[in-house]
Amino acid sequence: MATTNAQLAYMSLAEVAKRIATRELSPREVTLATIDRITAIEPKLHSYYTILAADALVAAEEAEKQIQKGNYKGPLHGIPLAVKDIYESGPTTGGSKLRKDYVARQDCTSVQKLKQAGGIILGKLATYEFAFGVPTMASYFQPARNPWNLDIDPGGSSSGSGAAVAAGLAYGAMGSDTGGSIRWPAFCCGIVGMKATYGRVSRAGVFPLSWNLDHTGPMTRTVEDCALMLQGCAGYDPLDPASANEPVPDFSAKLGRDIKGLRIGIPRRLFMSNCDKEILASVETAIAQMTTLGAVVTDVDSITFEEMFALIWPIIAADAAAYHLEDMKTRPGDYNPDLRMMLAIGTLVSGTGYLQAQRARDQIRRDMLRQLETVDLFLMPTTGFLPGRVRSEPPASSFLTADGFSIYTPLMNLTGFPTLALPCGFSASGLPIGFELAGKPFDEATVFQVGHAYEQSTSWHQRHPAL
Amino acid sequence: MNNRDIVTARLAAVGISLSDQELDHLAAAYSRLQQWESIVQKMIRPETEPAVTFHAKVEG
Repeated sequence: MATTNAQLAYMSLAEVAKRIATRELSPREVTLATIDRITAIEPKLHSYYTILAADALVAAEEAEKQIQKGNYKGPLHGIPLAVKDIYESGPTTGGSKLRKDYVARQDCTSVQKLKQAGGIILGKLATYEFAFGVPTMASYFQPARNPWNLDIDPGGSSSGSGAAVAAGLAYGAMGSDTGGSIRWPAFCCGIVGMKATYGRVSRAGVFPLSWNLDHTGPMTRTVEDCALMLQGCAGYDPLDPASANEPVPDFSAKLGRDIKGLRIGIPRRLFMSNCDKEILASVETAIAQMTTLGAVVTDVDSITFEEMFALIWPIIAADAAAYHLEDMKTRPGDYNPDLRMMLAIGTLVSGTGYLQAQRARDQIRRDMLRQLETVDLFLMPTTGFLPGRVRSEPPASSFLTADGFSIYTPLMNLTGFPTLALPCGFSASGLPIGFELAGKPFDEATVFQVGHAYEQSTSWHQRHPAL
Repeated sequence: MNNRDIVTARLAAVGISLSDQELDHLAAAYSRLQQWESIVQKMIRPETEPAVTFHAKVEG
């Protein structure tokens, strides 16, 4: 049966990989089809800053030759992927006028690993400015749009990664996550995103936002795809001071196993006070589904949303301000207004305030590690609000000082635990809703196991935007 | 000194100058930072050390 372009575009990475391995599909064919789709859809989606079509086709032809010779490298071989434009590889803008002409001298570690696994890099994806400042129609770089509604924000800061994967313009994308920047766009775009354990995936050659909170990881349309892509980029990197020298297991080993008896803790104190009712209803249905699948679900204690918010943003803002201090002194006008404000706020964080936040953070991490002796994972909504319209101009106030930004993702940046975001429904307005699962350090395999079991018992991953 | 004066002085000390409108916004943000510091202060147990503590090790 002939595969339509849309069917091919929305096929899972795993399925395309199987067909490439059996030579039913060729890397060149898949890459050309994806490039054609990007050409057709990008003018309205704005998910890519740079499309590396010529390089991608050369890589695809080489992949094809190697596979035909019998040198098949594995599931990423010949698969079109893309990376957030803070990963150094070719033109790397960080979504900012400050880096508009910057070209990396060499690929960062993660891109090298994906290429070594045979991945085809299609291009560089839209990002919030330096993974922090919210873009608007007035920004130097056009903001990406949400494929489910082109007037709506796709979330960020890995905005292009979320949009491109959801729209079938890549089979997987790399994102980064300091306070939720993989998981929030995964929520907004109805896809899967894994913020792996802190130190699991190299941050070397990725523009930093907050050195001690930055995580990197893959974004895909299914849980299995996410496990396959993480396999291709995880591992110790001596170039990254935070890289964990931990063995890399087979992240897919537990996929397909049932979850009977696995214990899931729900930290209700974190989100009950400010979660949108529609989102809460979808997440409660997902929780009930976990029970149906055999998991044992209990409520667990946690810090409040206010406490989490109070301690993470000063850390992020201060780290970011330190990184950008020289440019803020010499060329503040080249930053978009939103980021300029947040960097200025970062310079106002006191030394004692910063250290007290780091004390509270270590306390929370230890408390939650103790909780992981009695539960195997935590489950919570990814955020408590649906994304709004893409802004036409900078907001009147920074999100750091405005109310209504009820995002729950930062808790797992504070702990460093592996956390998977995945879809669990749709709002009445047709926008995706999702939740996140967080597990024990370096136990991504169990997180994938539970996420996969839930996913396969539902059909959310089979719905795609009509573009 | 009011918050606006504090913010203006702190930014000048690190060599950053911004517009009056931005300084007004930052004064409100500074209040928020102080509120957050109070919230965090109440969370801390006396024995807790900051997450920046590291362990010395012998290289080579």
